[in-house]
Amino acid sequence: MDARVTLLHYGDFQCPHCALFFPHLIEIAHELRDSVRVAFRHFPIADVHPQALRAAEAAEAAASQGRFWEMASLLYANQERLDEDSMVRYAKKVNIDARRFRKELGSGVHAPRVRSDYLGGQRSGVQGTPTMFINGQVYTGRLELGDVVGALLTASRNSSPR
Amino acid sequence: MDPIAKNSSIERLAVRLGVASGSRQIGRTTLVRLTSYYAVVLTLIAGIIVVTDNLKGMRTAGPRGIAPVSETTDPAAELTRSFLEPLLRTLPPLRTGAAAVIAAFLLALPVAFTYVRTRSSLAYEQAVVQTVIMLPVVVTSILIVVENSLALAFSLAGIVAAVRFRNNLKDSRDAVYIFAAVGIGFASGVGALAIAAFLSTFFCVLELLLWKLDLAGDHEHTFGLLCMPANKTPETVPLPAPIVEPPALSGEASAAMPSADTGLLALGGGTPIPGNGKTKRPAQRLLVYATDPEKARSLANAVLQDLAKRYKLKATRNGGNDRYVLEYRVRTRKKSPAGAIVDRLNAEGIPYVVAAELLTEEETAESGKAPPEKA
Repeated sequence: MDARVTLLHYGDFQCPHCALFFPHLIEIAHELRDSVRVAFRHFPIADVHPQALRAAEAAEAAASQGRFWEMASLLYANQERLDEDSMVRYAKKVNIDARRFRKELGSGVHAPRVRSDYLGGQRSGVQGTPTMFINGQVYTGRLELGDVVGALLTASRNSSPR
Repeated sequence: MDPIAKNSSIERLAVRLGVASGSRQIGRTTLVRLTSYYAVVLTLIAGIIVVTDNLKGMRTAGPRGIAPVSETTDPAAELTRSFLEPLLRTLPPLRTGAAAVIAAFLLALPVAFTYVRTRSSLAYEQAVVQTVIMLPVVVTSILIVVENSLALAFSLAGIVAAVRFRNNLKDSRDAVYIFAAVGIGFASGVGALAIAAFLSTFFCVLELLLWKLDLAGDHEHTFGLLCMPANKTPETVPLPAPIVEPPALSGEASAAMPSADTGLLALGGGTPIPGNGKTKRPAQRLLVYATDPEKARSLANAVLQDLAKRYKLKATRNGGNDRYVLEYRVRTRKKSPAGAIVDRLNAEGIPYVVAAELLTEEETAESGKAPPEKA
């Protein structure tokens, strides 16, 4: 893949705004897969969203089995049910090895990865979620598909070889 | 590869969403629908104005216009006179009143439509749409009831004052829609349908224009336009340089690639700082990201007491959004790996410590520079 535009998204699985925007992110990732590289970074705001950290680890556990986006969609769609049993149920839904998933979730093996994402966000000046960077520039527009695609288009034009 | 072909998917999606030209598009469907609607409604309202002479007589209806019923011995007529006549007398001037209410409702609909068109999915509120539709109807009805009665007006004010409206609007611009709805209701209620129609039309046009132009959306551009001399281009204010790691591939696991800055972090077990034991180990900078600085500090102090040779709290910064960063200067013990401090803080710090990281002096110096461009 030779995508010129990179969209980096910082999200929290208990953040309602992230949940509203996530379908748009999926649409961008799917429809613009040949020209936009979409990356998700965890930014769990643990004191406000007590289950966000575990949910992020769950998403990473699913990611280790190649089902990150499917799991993330389920987590966002069921924000009010993010307890461990529910997350194992979601793991079964996305057809991953539930035993391995539960083991990884229990051992906290993905916590460093989540923490590293969080720290990366802190250094980049992320203060809340969702925050996006398009080709390294923070996106300050509205969280509307049209606006984000407009910004991606501008970034793509700016990065075109002249 | 041809750059146009390469960008085709963004271009296609942008065209589909109406952002291809780089600015917002109101859309032909929106314009056609609004224009057709207004054409029909304004004709209808013009008709009402002509028929009711702009609701003349609404304010001075006096005894409600029921034709006197002639004396008759017909039992049905008697029934009408004794039951219906008093009932009808209590009603507002039905023809003009109903016309005003319907007109208010019809004129509020395009305002609600404009709200739906101009709001993003995050800023959108169903409550505002329904309020904008219903408010003019209610306000018109109230004004019909109040008429010219000072006593009724005072009673109404008393009732309104007694009810506390503590509804927080997501967007302060939503309040403008509410005021527009009240304005339409007021104008219709006093029988000034022409003003109500003008207000509704002008409001929608203005609101759509403001949305399309995204007026004052870009502070730098607006500032340059308004406050800089015409021959000077506005100075670009650089954004805080973000550190952007090479991301995971789209559609694949986000864990497919470790963060670029993971190497800087002593996370996940941590790596002992290299050293042969003879040379003095360099001091390190420990950053503790906390939600409660006081509790985090006592926790961090306890951990450092155990694991660090020497430590000193250099600063406590407010990172914004109720996040604090405690900055320590730490000299680790020979036997304690640097990562152990971070690990313990992460494990024991919940919920006051969100994360912790340990940087060497070199990394600290580097972190002050702009991040290198990453492919």
